[in-house]
Amino acid sequence: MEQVIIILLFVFIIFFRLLPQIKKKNNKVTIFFIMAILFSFPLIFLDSLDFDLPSPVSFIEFIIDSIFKKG
Amino acid sequence: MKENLTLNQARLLLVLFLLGSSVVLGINTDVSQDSWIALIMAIFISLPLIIMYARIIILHPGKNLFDIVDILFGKLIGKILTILMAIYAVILGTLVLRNFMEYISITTLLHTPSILIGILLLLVAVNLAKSGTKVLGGWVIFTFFCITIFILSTLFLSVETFDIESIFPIMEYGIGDITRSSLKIVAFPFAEMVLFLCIANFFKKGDSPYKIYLTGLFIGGTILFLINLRNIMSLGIPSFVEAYFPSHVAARFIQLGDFLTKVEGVITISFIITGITKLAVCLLTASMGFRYLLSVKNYKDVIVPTSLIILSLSAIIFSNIVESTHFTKYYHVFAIPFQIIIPLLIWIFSEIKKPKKEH
Repeated sequence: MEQVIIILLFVFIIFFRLLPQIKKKNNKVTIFFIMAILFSFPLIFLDSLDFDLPSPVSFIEFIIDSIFKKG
Repeated sequence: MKENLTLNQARLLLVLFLLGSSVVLGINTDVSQDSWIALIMAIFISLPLIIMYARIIILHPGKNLFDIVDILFGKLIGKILTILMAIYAVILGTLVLRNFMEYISITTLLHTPSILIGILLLLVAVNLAKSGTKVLGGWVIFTFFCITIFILSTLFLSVETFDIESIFPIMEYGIGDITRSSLKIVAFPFAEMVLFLCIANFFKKGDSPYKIYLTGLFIGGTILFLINLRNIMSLGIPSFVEAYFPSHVAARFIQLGDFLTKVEGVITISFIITGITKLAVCLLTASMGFRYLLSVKNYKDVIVPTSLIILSLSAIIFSNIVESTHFTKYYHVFAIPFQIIIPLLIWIFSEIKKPKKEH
């Protein structure tokens, strides 16, 4: 069910948000839009399938730890 | 037509932004019963920062942070600073969204997948950000009064659960510990107001940024102070420190005879409204940043893709509320470049370049 809703969301976004930008020949926005979809769809979809994806926050914590030499 | 927020709308937007997630998660509780002292200290420590933010706006009327860095540092460094601030806005938006996803999942919709809650919250925030400042201003005025009534009524209704002994002993923790805790409170939520520099072009030119920032800080700070004191006295120290959502737990104790119980439902709605407002501001700020990076005419064109990035990051940023709480130990360090270093650089360069311009 969760995956169906995610796919429907992205289909909706592509048809009602991305296509109008392509029609307007708004190239920079179109490229940014496609990149955002390519970035976000796999992450959201894999997360919904309970894949253990690396968190950006753990990367931030690691950097701060290594700078301040915390445990 | 240029869109502008009136003085009152800008003030109240700032207050709702401050309340945002801090009204749900509560402020830093490292010094438990002394956290109200730390909160008062934090308000005063925030003052120089807030004055600096307002001064930057005064030096560059009608411009936002992205315009300013472009003027001061040139294209290359300007773009780097724009990327950094846009990333900060995205991460802050992600944290807000994830916290609210957790909050609703834990307290209300136990079996609903959190991503669906995130989609619904984001849909409202996207609509709010896309509707422009006129709608945002109207939303802020309307919701502020509703939220103030909800918060004040829960404060009065929970008076009978108060145990004044909970705030004693006062100053049990040393001044060092209290100062450390107050610095964390400065980082979350007070100095997050740096994001308003990115939408400073929405303020009316004649309106004083000092008035906007200072009244926003004092109204928001006072509400947070009252909520914090209520939570301490109502929950007692062990529960206050351990609870993930102290205000929600405190609202559960409210009972007026047999006819008014389970007030936390109303409280949840008011919390969600503040969360959506904060999310909309983060979204607006990040979109403005991406607009400058991509040289797009209208920021509204990039709101939906930006919201997709926020949604996807919020899905992976934490596995659970425990990880979210763990990150609060790092947040104040992570936020230093965005809340202090970048604005300080901008302010110093603005002051240096100002006399030359006048000359």
